[in-house]
Amino acid sequence: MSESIEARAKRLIAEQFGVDPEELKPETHLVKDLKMESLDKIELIAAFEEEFDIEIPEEEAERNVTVGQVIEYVKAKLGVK
Amino acid sequence: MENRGFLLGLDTGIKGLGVDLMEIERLKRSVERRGRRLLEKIFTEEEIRYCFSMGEPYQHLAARFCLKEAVLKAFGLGLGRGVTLRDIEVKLNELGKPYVEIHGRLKEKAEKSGVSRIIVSMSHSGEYAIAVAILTG
Repeated sequence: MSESIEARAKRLIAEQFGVDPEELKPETHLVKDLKMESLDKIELIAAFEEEFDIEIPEEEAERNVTVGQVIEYVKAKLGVK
Repeated sequence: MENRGFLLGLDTGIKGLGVDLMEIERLKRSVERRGRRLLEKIFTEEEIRYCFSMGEPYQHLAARFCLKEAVLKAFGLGLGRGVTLRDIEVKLNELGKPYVEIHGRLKEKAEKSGVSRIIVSMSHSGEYAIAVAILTG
């Protein structure tokens, strides 16, 4: 079975911040918990665009500040319930 | 009386100050991981061309990244709200002194806040790059 959207998203976030994907909860905050800086954010956007073949404008990205929100955003972009 | 310096500061028309410091290696790692897609989210074509024409491209890229961040900080902004790092373009005059041109939403913001000039400086040494930006009326 192929990797789920949720697992792929968590893998990218975990790689970016050097944490274990298991540690990522829906409420994990990108800035407060993972200490996301400006360059992390741009890198993460580039990683998600490449992984899911989507375009992510920065003003859309900034509305998603938790792991759960990021996953929901990607699902919505891909038209997946 | 203690406020005099502050008032003098206002008299000189300074409207904002920003500084940013980064490890050059940090940017290099990011670019190596994400390639051209990442570069194009931060830099204009002209900036990319210039930096890669130099012997040590990453120190030039990192200094420019810092300068863009310093300008955003001087405006009291983060990324988003329609502003991207590409809206701040770093150029060099004929003497090699840097200046910035701003575009898009950031330009509108500057006009609204009465900012007519952005004074900038950047540097790099060893592992680090640094830049400052001052906004004036």
